[in-house]
Amino acid sequence: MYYKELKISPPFMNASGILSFVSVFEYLEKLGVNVGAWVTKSIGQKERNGNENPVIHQDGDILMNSVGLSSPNLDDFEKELKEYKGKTPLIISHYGEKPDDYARSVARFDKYCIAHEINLSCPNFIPGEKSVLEKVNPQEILKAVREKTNKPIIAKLSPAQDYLEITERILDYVDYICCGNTIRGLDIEPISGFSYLSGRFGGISGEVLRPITMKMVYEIYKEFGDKIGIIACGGISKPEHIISYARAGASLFQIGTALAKPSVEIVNFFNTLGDGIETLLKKIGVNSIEDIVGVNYVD
Amino acid sequence: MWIKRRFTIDEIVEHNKYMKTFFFDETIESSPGQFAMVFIPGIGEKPFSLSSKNSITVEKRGKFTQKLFQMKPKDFVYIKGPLGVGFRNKDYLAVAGGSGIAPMLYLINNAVIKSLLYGARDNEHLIHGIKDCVVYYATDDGSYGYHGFVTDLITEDLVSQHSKFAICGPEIMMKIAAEKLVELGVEPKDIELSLERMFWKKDLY
Repeated sequence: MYYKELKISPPFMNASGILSFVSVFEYLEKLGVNVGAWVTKSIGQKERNGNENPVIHQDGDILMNSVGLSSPNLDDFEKELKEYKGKTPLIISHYGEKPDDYARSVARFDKYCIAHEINLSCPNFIPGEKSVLEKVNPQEILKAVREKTNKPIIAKLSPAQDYLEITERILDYVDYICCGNTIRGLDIEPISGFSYLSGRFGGISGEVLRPITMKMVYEIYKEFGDKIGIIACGGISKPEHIISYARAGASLFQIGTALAKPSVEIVNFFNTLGDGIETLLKKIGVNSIEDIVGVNYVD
Repeated sequence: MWIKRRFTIDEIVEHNKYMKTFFFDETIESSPGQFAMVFIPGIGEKPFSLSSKNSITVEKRGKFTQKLFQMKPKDFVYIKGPLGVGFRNKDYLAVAGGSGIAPMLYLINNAVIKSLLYGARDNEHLIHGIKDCVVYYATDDGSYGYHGFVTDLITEDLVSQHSKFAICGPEIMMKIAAEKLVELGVEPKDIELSLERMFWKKDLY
């Protein structure tokens, strides 16, 4: 069993790709936010502009984005990390095109973080690009990464992937599975017939993901819960959602779309989440989230 | 409140060859200095300062604004906004360069500008007929008003008559204007700049 525990308190953090920048993390800390860790935007080998605007489309409760992994290059990113003065630990998210890409950035940034998130499931590329798992065996990626770090490794998968099969293949090299990522979708502007997003397709996020992702958490926990930890990421916007995800099998939690709000409201959101969880745990009659991880009566 | 909706163009005012104001059929609850993302399907999306609750004032520059300039009343765009933080004071001495005039028009509408220093490269790029405040014009080529940069119009005398300052225009112009105001004894907290930058791009570092 390869299970390095990621010990953070409180057990929640942002999802990669939202808030994104260490300067934003620092700013929120200055405003008094309390989170267990900050997850950076996925960093790749080369500077990338990503897609042109529009990269965000919102209609009612549905939010889609086609940012397309825009990121600085490794040197500029390291400059940011060096200047980080926040107290909250960082988890660095990585993307790449081949195992060596991931291994190189994991090795280089190991000293700046408490864990690495390996993004294997970004649904957004510039049109014409392929997703990483269409090109490379996930096992090779995780094996290469494992050789470079002793810190917890999180593999970020999507409910749209064959997650049970992928998890089985990478089981020996990862400590956590992050369930999940946004799911690729399309929305067409009715009058013109063009997509609302310049990248044509976009990752759907928000409330709609929760039941889909909860099933993923439930299934992975049932199959591999004794070997790996699970981070739930999909449609969390209140304490109840965290408790439900814990019952499905997750012990850590990431919040994305619910953070698309002004800074002060983000701080308030995070800082009331803890109290809300406490109240619910009391109602259930347990002391901590750990007591209910995987405790459900679905079957 | 933040909205994203399809807006129909109601009226277009052509100020000159390069500047137009597009009025929409609905208003956006906003304050002067805030901006909105304007989306034309199939073309793209760009940020524009609001020049009133229901308009944007645009300078023709690239592919996107060329398309916008071809549009007619009853055509539509999508608008997401308002975004950003607006100006917060009143009785301003405002300094505007080029399309930086857009948020100032909104401020003038709200009657919070006392004096406006307004510069453009030439007369063809200037909006004329601005009412309700004292306007001092400058053009780079001298084709209208003062011959030179708008920042040259910032004088001790004028500064002493105002306590709040608003600046919008090309970044270099805003830098020079702000530095000059500070040199003349203005406290930085009394100077507000409206600037636009694409997130994370390299020049941010």
